[in-house]
Amino acid sequence: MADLPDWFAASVIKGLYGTELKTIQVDELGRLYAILRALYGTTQKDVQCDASGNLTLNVKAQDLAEVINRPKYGAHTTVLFNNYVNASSDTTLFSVSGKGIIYAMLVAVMGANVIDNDYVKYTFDGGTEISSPTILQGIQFNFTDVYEGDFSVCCYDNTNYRYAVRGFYGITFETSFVMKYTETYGRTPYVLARLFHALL
Amino acid sequence: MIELRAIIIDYPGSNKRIRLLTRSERGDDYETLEFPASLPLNRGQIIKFLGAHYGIEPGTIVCPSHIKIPEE
Repeated sequence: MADLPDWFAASVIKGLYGTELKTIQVDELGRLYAILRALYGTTQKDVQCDASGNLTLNVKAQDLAEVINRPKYGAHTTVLFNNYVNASSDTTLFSVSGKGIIYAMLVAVMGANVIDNDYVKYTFDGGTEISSPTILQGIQFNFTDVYEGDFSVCCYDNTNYRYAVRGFYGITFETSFVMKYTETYGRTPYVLARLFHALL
Repeated sequence: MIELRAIIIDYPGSNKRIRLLTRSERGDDYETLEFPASLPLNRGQIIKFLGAHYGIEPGTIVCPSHIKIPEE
């Protein structure tokens, strides 16, 4: 048994390369590393990695029946405003700091008198604050297509004083989005606002 | 590691609501948390709140530079 390790004394492990004994080596911390090799036909090839040590995978080279992928949608978030707005001033409806895409926006206004000169303001990515057309201008210029532009009027009722606008479909933002309601008559209508968006 | 992805402020009723959107290192497990209205909304309080919620050290919470405290 003298030629076998006794597990207490330091031993050198060797392996056979053909008929030649080679000493198996470790790194400075004593870790034993293995080089991965794979067969290309009958030829052995080293499996390689990138500068970070990551093994890469060429999906296109795989014999796959199909590859399914999808865009990253992000987390759905709904923001709401249900309250009376301030008279003759701006009221912040909601503000978001982050990256995302807007899928739908609706602002419905219920007043006790005509309020069709009111409008909304919005700021994307901390840029210039943009004022939308007034509700009345939306009607005068026929901004009524829901999926066109940033703003469209979908309810205009000067008898019951009900108004609604919607828009922003598909608009993206990289850092922030803020939306305000601007009241111009010195009144305090009730505003119900919804914004459906996804945050990445 | 937890990453703050968004701060969302809205007004679903008479009170302001503040929510934080987070995700883990995997990147696809989003979570929305309601930030207490009684706390001042600043970066330090956000990190402290997230650290307590997830039971992790503040240093493991990432706040990307594009996340600003939203205006009132």
